[in-house]
Amino acid sequence: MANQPWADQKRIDRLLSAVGRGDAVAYRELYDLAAPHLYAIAIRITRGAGLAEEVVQDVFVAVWRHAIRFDPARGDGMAWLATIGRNRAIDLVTRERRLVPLDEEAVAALPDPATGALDRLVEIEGGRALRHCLDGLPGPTREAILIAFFDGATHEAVAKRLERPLGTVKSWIRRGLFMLKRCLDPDADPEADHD
Amino acid sequence: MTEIDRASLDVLAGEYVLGTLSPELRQQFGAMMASDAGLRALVDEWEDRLAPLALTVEPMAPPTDLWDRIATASGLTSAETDPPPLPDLLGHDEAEEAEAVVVPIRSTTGSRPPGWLWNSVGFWRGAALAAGLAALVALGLLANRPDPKPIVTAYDPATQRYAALVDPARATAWVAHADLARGRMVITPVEQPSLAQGSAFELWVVGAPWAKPLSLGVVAPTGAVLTNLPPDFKAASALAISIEPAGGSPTGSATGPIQWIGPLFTPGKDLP
Repeated sequence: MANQPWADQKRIDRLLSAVGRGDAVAYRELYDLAAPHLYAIAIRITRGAGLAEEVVQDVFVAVWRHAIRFDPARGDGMAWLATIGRNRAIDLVTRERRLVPLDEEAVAALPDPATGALDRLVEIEGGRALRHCLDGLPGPTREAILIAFFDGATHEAVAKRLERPLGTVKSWIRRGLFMLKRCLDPDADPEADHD
Repeated sequence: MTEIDRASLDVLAGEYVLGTLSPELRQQFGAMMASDAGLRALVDEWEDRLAPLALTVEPMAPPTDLWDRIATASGLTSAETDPPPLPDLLGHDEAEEAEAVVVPIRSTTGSRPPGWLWNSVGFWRGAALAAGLAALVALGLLANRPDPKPIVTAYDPATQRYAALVDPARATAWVAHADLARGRMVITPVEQPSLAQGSAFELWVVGAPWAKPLSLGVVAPTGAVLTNLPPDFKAASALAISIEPAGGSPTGSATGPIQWIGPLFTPGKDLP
């Protein structure tokens, strides 16, 4: 990629601290560095520009108003922002899904983030282990998990996308999550693996 | 709680983070999580495990007016409510300038303007509003905004430098704000000047520490952010921009005409 946001990870951490002190210039700079990323994550999940803008705005305003606070001990700032953005996007879409039909055609025109995600993962701090563990999953399971992650899709939506029965996809995802956890932290919780 | 309960809650937490739960289940789970720290911890772990995936998404430039809306919602500034007037440093109206300089945010996949000095700060165009904000903050004009935040205290005037670079006819100008405490400077044109094909704007600093003007690098016509100012910058007396061949002066000295120049001043000290 021409421009890797994670190359700016340390800078984003510093900017988050400055924003915590009320530095408006840092706030703007943080927006310039992080907003395109949050927007890309949100537009995929929300299936529409309007809600994606709302997600970006909600995250930034929450950071500025100290409604949420970055803890540098818990990883890097961009990952933190991305996690909050994903959550917010899924919550908004959960709320709106019953109200508005989603624009599936528009979203089909977006680049599919799952394509190439595994390749890009190795360039990201902490991504290498995840890549290794995703590689260890059966192909359809991995695909189902990636679709679910990038689209914030329900079991039903993933099943429809993969043209598989709902029960099959559900158990793929559950099984896949078990395997991922076991692979990523093998010592953490061995007794949880007896399904 | 039995191990099986724990295991299924852990998977549920993973599914919550993935986003696969039905709306009803998601809301129930969210409510449980709010009052159950153990559940919250399971979710945190899943978020940490999967977070690197979110960083693989190709960035997309948001709509150009999104920052304005965020700034407004943050109580910083607003296009609708009239912004406080700046002191008339340039003989221009700040409100109009703010409109004029908030140009589309640079696509993050676009090519970077030339310049060896700057590091990877990603806002060449957005720099304009940042400069406006910086000026407002430094001058304490945001203090009366609704829902004030203690931003004014973040600045020690003694470590700030400002310059308005004007052309001989005083028809066009650039504004620069250097923050010595942070070692950075934002420079932005009041109106984006035109730049002939094959030329570049090169920024120079003039002052006692240097025998001749020192190049700070090539700046884009939309402005620039410099993050490594030379160590003696606090003793600088003026900034200038000359027109040079693309890529900047080949000799290390200005070879083209000085188009804009202006003295650097320290707020509260050099002002009358």
